[in-house]
Amino acid sequence: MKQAPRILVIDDEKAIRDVLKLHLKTQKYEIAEATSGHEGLLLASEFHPHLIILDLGLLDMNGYDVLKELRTWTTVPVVVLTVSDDEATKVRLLDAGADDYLTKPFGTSELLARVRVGLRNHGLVEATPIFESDDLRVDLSQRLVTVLDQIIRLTNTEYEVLARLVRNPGQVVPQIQLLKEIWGAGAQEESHYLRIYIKQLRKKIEVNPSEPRHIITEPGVGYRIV
Amino acid sequence: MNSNERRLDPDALLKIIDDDDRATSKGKLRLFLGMSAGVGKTFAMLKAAHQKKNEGADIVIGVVETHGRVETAALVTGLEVIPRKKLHYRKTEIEEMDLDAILQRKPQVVVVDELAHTNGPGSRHPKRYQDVLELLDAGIDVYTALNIQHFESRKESVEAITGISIRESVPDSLLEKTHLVELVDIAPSELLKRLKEGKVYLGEKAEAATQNFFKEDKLTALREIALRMTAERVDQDLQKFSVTRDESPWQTNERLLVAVSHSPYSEKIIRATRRLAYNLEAPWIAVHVDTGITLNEEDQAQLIKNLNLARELNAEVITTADADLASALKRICRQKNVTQVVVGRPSRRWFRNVIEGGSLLDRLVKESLEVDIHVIRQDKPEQATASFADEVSLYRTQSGWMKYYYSFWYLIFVSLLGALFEPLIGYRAVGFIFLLAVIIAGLSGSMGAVLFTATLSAVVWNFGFIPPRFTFVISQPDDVILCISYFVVAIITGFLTNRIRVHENLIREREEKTNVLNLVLQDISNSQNKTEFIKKVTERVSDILKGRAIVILKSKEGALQFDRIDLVQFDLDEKEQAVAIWSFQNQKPAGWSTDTLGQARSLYIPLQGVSEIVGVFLFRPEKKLKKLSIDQQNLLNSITTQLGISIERHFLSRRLAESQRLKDSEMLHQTLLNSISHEMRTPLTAILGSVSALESHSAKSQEIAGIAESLADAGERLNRVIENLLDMSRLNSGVLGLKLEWHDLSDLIGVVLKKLEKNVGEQKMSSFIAEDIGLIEIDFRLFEHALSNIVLNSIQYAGPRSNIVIKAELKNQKVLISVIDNGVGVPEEFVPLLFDKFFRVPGTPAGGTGLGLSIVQGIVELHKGRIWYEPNTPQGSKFMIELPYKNPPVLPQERH
Repeated sequence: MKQAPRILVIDDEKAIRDVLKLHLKTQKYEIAEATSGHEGLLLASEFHPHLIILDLGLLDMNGYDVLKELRTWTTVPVVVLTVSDDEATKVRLLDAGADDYLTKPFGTSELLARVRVGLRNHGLVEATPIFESDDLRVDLSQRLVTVLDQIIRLTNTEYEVLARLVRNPGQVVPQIQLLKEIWGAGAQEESHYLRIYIKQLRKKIEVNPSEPRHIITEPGVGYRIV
Repeated sequence: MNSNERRLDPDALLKIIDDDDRATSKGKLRLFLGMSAGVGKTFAMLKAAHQKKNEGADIVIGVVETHGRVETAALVTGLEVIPRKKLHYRKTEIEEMDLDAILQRKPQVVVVDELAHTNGPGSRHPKRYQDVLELLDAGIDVYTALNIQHFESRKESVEAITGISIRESVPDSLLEKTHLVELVDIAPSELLKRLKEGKVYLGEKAEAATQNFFKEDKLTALREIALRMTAERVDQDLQKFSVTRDESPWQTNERLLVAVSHSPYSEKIIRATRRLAYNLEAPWIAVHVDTGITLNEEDQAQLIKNLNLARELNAEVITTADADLASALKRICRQKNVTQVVVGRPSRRWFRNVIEGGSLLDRLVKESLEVDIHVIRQDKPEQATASFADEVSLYRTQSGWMKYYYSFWYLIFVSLLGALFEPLIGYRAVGFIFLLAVIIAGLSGSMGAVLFTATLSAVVWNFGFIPPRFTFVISQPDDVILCISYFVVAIITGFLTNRIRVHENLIREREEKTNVLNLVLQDISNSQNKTEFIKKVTERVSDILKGRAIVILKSKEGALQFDRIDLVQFDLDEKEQAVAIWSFQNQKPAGWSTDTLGQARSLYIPLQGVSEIVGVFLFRPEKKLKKLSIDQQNLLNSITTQLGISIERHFLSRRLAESQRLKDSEMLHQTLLNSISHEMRTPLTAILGSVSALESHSAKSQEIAGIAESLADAGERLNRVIENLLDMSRLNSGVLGLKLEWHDLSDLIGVVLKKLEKNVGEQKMSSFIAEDIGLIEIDFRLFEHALSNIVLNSIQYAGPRSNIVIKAELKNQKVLISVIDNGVGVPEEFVPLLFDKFFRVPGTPAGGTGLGLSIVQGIVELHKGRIWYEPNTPQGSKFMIELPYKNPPVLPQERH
């Protein structure tokens, strides 16, 4: 990488900004701070960040509105900080254009992982048709899935599900999106379709399906592949 | 009591909807109809009961009389019999059907023999058919048996045929309530044969009557009536069916009207009208016009009986006040679009005909061109022609003959006055004094007294004043004409002035009634609150009627509140309370002055709001008062209707306010939750973040690393406490709706294990999930919290070197999830307290709030499951969760 990735933190809590700065600096990222929504929007256009960390509970503006405003002109990855563990809030965030979310309190490793995923998916890392993680390898160009170099035979639907996760590696894919794209708009409520295929997939690609290492469940929101 | 109770709507569709409604929520009545005793109704009924039982129905016998017939008695065995209730009445013991026991037992079908039976004193209803109606209302099907002579409308014909008077009867409207009528038919000759063989029991007293009754010609006539009645019923069913299919309204646009008076003869006209209406499939109206005549007790009772009969026969009953009978009838004909009027053959009221311009019939025929008029013949000649004496007695007031006594002395006084003035003014002018006296009598006295005064004055004038005096002979021809003219004028003026007075009285009474209702409305609208207007209205009723009134309101839980202080003065014992409750539950008036539990001390009228019953209106009469008059009943009905609606409105507005308050408090709760979670979690994030930075920079100092670690632990704990508090308060407030979705159980357990990874020290954790569990329907996040709490509980309390196993299996169509450890277990005495809020097993390591397991229980119960603790063998604990299991929905076939 030629230049250090730039990260904009929008949060009105000094303590949180300090902690975020503390951890992000260890990764040699360049950091800008905004203490309000308006300042954040201003800095987003001046600082040209590669990723934005946005707190949902701002004093001057609702985090949603900041997110929507951002999305009118930029596709920069946004990771939202929220205190609510209500899944409806999370789904709404993803719908509004957030790339990922972190529920307070969050661990350091969790934070850094989300930031890495956000930066990579935003093209700072070359996109490849191949996903590799430990024993699992998915080649999207050849439609080939292997575990420990053994070819895994998947049904069409199983492959569709896996491919959609692999295209956004490390990032949560909402279950509504999966249902809509694979089974059609009428199937949004039929979450059991997805459960059954995820179960089948895990049996085929996980070493221990009841303690999955690749397909991670985000309760109430969706799945991510790691 | 309520004149609107059985209002027939002409809209046939509505009727059919009603009928369908009746068919679903109410019980069905199956009637076994016979022409006489001995045809085998009970036998047929029990046969049908056995057949129904074989089809798997829950059927019991409420009451059956076998009369010692062996075949019938044999049929009773094998059916459950509800024991009869014993009533004690003046040292004798009477057995009656136990209505309450049947209602409590609530079978599908109950067999009730002898529908026309009259219940013993102390029963809830005077008649058994009323018991049956209550059973039907409770949704229980009833099989019952009846002889044709017991139908109100057939009673007379049967009496005429057999010459035996029939005491017990049931209203014809029951026939309409029946779902199925089965005619138990037998040829008369066959019946006579059975009778000879002694197979028919007729009761001890009936022996003599038997000779008369059981003749072939009479039986044939009875059989014809029974067959015709059944045929009529079948015809109706057919018509109803065709109405449903064609969706056409009433087959005829006819509407019948019958005028009802206090005469016993009215009964016959009412029945005749009902037969006509029945055959025409037309609605009918029974009208009583109060012409201002004061009725004595006997007449009043007859009038109430007549109106009740009409009501029972499904007439719309209207009572109105008008001095002119014919014009009142004409008015109602116009208002209600009546096409046919039924009247009785008129009596010879010659003097009224002269004055009123013809009899009622004549006037109706002359003045109402748009209606057909039926005239019903009278069978009993002694009642057919009303003599002058009858007519006078019609106007008899409650003080009776005293009026005539006073009139007599009044006339003597006037005569003396005449004698005093006669020398001055001449005998002819004395006539004017008499005429004046008659007019004054007309303004103050009753009709009878006026006519009496008019007649007597003519006689006295003739006898005492017209020459030759003190004879009835009149010497001059012009005096003869004068005397006759006087007599006619006196009668007419007397009659007319009296009419005017009566009319005025009527108007005043009507005004008073309207006035009372207006005052009641004012009471309600001028009151600040419910208690105040209830008090005002009950006081007003107590003033108008002779007695005391009070309202018993319904509590929030839906039961009547008998424990109110103001009820103490009424001293309601259990029996009275039972009457009130009956009235409340059955939505009908009960107690004093009604047909239901009439021996009660008070009258109870349900207070009907628009959508629910809000309480019961209690009226406790003074001892003298025997029954309410029709006017009083109507007034009370209007007042209670108004009261019911107003109370309901107050209830509703209060409920609205309450729900608003609840909504507000939920809002507050939600806001509080949000702010707590925000306010506590944000600093916690800062703390934990700083601590983890401290940990990574603390390579140099062992001491600092230790502090950082315990800080991190404390932060984690704090976070769990916050989570638990949030869950707990949400569970309690009910804000939390379950978000049920199909989930993979192994996925759930995977998430829990991953979440608790960092909490596990040296313990070994494993999971075992039975293959046959597919998906289960749960709220993932909530259930994940629940399971995490249990597992964390085991991790914390089982001891550092224990094994923890999560097991899931399918047992008896239930999902059984168990969390098992081989740690120290829970001491037996603490097991019952485990799931209590804030309970912690004494001596366990610090770190919990004691909320965890109680939250788990809340969540599991939300999922309609249960949780319990079992000791593990040889040591340790077992927490078991049982959830209902449903087969997950089928997946669409995958296309390849």
